[in-house]
Amino acid sequence: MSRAAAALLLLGAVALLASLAFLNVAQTAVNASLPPVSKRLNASLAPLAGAWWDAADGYNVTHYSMKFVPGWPELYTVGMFAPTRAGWEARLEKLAQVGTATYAIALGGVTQITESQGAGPYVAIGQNTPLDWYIYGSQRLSVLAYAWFRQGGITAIQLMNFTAEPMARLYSQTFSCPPSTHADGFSDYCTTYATGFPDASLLKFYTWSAAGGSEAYLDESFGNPKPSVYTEGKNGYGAAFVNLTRWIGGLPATGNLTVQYYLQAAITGGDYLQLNFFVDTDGDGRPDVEVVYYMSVRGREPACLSSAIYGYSITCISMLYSSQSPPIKTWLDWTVTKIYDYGTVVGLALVTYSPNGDTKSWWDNLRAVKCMLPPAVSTYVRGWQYTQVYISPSTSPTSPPSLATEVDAYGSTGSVYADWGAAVARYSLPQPVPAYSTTVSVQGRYVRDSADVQNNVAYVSIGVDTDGDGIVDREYIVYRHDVAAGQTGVIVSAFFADSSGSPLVVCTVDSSGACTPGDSRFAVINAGAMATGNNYLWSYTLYERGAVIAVALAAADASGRADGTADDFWIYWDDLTVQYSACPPPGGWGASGKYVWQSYGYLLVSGSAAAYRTLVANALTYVANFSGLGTYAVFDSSLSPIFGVSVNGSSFTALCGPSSVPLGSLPSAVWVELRPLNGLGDVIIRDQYGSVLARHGCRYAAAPQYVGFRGGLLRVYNITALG
Amino acid sequence: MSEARRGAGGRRRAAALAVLGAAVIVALLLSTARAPAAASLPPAAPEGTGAAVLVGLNGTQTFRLWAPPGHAALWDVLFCNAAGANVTVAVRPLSAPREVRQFLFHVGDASFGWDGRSAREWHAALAPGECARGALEVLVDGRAPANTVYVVAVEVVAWVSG
Repeated sequence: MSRAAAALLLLGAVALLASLAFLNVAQTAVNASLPPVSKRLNASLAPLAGAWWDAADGYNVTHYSMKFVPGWPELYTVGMFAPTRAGWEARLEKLAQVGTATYAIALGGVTQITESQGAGPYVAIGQNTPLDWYIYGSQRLSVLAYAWFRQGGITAIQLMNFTAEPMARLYSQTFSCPPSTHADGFSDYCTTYATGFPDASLLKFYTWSAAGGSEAYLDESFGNPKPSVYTEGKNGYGAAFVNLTRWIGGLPATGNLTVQYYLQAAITGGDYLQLNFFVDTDGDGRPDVEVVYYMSVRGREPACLSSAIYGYSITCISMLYSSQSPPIKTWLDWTVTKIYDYGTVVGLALVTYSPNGDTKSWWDNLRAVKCMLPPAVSTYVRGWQYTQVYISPSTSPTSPPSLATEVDAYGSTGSVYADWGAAVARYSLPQPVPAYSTTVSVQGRYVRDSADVQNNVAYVSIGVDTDGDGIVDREYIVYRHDVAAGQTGVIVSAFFADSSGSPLVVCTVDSSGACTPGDSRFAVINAGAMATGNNYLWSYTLYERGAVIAVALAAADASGRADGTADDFWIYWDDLTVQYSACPPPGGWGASGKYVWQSYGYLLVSGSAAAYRTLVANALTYVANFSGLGTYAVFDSSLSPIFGVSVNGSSFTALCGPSSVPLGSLPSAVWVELRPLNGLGDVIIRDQYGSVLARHGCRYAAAPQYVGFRGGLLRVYNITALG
Repeated sequence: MSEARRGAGGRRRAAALAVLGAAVIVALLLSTARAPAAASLPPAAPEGTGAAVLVGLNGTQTFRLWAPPGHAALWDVLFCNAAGANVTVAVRPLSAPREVRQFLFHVGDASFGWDGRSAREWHAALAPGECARGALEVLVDGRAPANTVYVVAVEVVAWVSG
């Protein structure tokens, strides 16, 4: 074969081969541009929820994370799906799950993945198609899923990872405070002054005798122990005068006095043993009345000595102490329990008087009990003689001394509003105490004069400052009544007066004890009737906002007056007790306003006050359990609420800056959550199981600084910060 | 047979082979110039709807696909016999940039192409006008720059099998 033929043959073979084989190169230009659907984070949830992406094995993995309160259901729109081109659909398909929980992930409102559902249907993706995530669990949960995106014949698959982590408890505060009692038995306001007459410096001696022989001097040779004061009346009197003003600054006439005496022989016939008291009734320091207590068998005209001692004559009242001679040759006590109805005793004379004989006595160990009103007590009196407030050293429903209120009506016209008389002792507490769950109680002994007309009311008034301005604006009146049929009693305010300064009449009281105030500032409590000579308890427990700042003990006589103590009545008050619980807020808590306490088992925020603390680092939610009336909020640096809730019983209102949104009546509400997120304030109200009863999201621009409470009257049992 | 006759006969066979070879070359040249008309084939797919790979012709086909980084993009794909005769086909990856992590064809139960670690071929027999329906899965690395075009080449070889 020629070379040419061989070449042609080879060419033919190649041509044959070429006719039977085809070589084709398919080139694909892969355009790697934006994803079909963008996955966005609901940025306002940060840092509670987060989203980011990374690449794993070439895949783009979109991560969504969320924190949840263990054991409570959570639901958030954690993100949004938005198409970069129109017409896309998406669905989710679970690949793997680590951890257990009840959960559901939904796209566009269509459930895709749950703890028991592996995948969901395609959902058209519009602008801002929500990605909702519900979880109810207690442990970390991680779900890996495919996100399928489809448009016509194109499908793109991406990985998504959902991770939920339980929040940790970062801060927890409960509140407690033991009960306290403020008690006053009125026993600390009496001082006993005593002297054994060691010398004659306190004494001034006066004698008179028709025929001479009366004597008065300091006997150095006899006494109990010696010396003692010797007085002898021989056809006259011998007297030893003690200037009580100089000795003890005067002695309230309602006080008592004791002196020892010793008789060498019995007093007989018209002989007298006398204690002459000189009483200043008008406060000028000079005596206006001489009151003579005396012992005499038959004598009824004791010696009055004001002219001899003071140089002028005054009314002299004689009070027979005993008409029998006391035992002789022994030291005996002579006690006068109430010298006079009112005024101040400025002088005392120890007197032996025998107009027609000779009587001798020794005196020793003078002891005076001087009682002053407590510094905490201020008084108001209106009435006839001897309407007054004083410490009684001798009478009490329990044990003397006591605080006495004595009253006679101001007039007898028959008009209660014109005639009423009142004796009021306003007792200011050392410091305001909570008006919530505080009990005020006091014992009282009721005594009325036999001539008294039964139109008497005795009451305890509890003055409450409800708004924190330090002024009483509500008065609780617990009253007892002794009002005869056809009579009318009266209650006047201890804390509220009209423009002229006269106390307001709260109500009249009929014989059944009914009292109907016309002013809402008064709350009246009928404690029942009272009868003279009996002891009673006045007691009441308050559940009011604000603080108790004073308690008044009062007696009011509606009408009818008489001179002296006739027609008067007395209440002897004792053992005033205020039981309360008040401790400062816990460390780290601040208070704005007056009335924030830990009280019993809660934090009491009352009377327009606020209690707050700085936000806890890394906390995502603040869970509080409280009741009452007030606000729970996240505050800015000036303590203005940024967002929160106001509560009034079971009625809740969401607060968002200056606006509010009623959430309705939620009687099963137990927990209120505040979540200060990224410009979103989430308010969640839950029942005892954590189920969401109401929810409100608040967009804000302010800078959260504090979380806390404002009353009203709010009892906060606990608050917990988680994150 | 005389050498002359053999020589004359050999010249005739050689000439015939030469003519046949020349005719085939002309046909080959003609076949690369345009795809044979095949009424049963779908038209070339535009971007966004998939691809139809023609089997049984020579030359280069170009497709444009969209695969966002990090997403496994799935495209419908057809392998269609355009040779007018039964063919045996072999498809194998030629080249792929490293940013393309997967370029896998799924036809029936078979997967072939580039899975990020190795390349696998696909062998199949197609009757004239027959199309094998499958899917192309493309994964561009999630960290690869977006808005970039990556070119992947696949060699398609077909033999007439009778």
